[in-house]
Amino acid sequence: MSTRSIVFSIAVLACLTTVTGSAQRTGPEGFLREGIRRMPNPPGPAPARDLSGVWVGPIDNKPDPAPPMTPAGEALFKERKPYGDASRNADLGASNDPFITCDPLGFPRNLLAHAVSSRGRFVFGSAPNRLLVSYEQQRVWREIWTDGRALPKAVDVRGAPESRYYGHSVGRWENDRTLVIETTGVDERPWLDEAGRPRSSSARIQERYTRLDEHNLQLTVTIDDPKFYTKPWTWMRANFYWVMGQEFAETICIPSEGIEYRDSLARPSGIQIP
Amino acid sequence: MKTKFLMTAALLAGLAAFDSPSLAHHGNAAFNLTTPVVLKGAVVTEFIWINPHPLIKADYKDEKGNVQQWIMEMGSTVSAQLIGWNRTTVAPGDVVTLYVWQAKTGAFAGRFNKVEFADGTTMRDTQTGGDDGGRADRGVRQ
Repeated sequence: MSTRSIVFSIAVLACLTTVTGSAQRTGPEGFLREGIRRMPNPPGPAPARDLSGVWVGPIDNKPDPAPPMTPAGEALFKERKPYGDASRNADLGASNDPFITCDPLGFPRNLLAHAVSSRGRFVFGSAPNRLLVSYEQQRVWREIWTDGRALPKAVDVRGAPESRYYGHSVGRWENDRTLVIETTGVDERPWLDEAGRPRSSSARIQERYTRLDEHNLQLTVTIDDPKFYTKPWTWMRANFYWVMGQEFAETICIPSEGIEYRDSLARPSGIQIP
Repeated sequence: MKTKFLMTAALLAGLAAFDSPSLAHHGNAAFNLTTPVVLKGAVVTEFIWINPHPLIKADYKDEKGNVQQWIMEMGSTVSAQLIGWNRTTVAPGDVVTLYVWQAKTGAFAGRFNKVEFADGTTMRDTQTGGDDGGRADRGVRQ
């Protein structure tokens, strides 16, 4: 690993947080959770077919346990060496999490928003024939086609589109409050989660966004990936909350800032960096 | 071997900067989280608004008149933003009281806890900034 990569590592890992812990907390008066301001007014009814705006979460994520993997999934999973609370071994230095070197988190791992204390903001917007979803972490965006087109049946084969870190997505309104997004064709390099579970390019990942009211957006994510898992499961079941002021920050790993942090604070504090 | 060493060090550095709950776990290795050092009358020399952590630099004159040059990190930049911080919340020249969890090495470095401004207002760190076990939502300066 190059020195440059090490610097990336410092910056990225310092941004990372674990998923556990914060999800069950409740905030003091005025706050839903730390940093998430409770809207002063009671939520009004959900507007019809409209998710536009900035949301923060996931809050109270209650996924189902991942099902057993197929032999192919197990083989890949065994190669993954996570860090932190997700680590299955004590040798943290051996982690090969691709995000350590700032490789894209990919979809749907980016939904975990683990770089911001297990919460992050995203914004729903629109463009002709599609919805746009932008995420403040790494400032990436997805496009969700709503013009009725079909998802690719395969990727990375002759005549088919290429796989993408954030996949190919189409969306439809199931009713006035629920948007269903189907995604496939993800690049297989990113991890599914902090533990390093895999997901294949043929996986079908469904997001169901149900706007409960003006301020609450429920998200359920299910994954059907027969190549790597023995059955589908609910990977995320959480709430996202309306952001007061609708501001949208950025969380970007910057090598020079990682160096400054390392040299000015980490080393004097006794954190062992050569 | 050297690569592995470098990698481990980088990981440790990153882990030490984790927010709670990981911060509490890993931060214990580097910082004394039992009693914060109080730097009354410290003069802010620089507020570096960077990822992964904003850094506050300040000069503090001890009882013998010696100037200690301190540096302290906050929680993640975005988390700090969520509780009201921005790159101008503190500024060079501000005379403040800083509370900091000092590095166990004894260096004038550590994890920021809270700052009391001359006007009596207080801004806290994320996760480790509260007096009640870490909540930082209270006392947000508007």
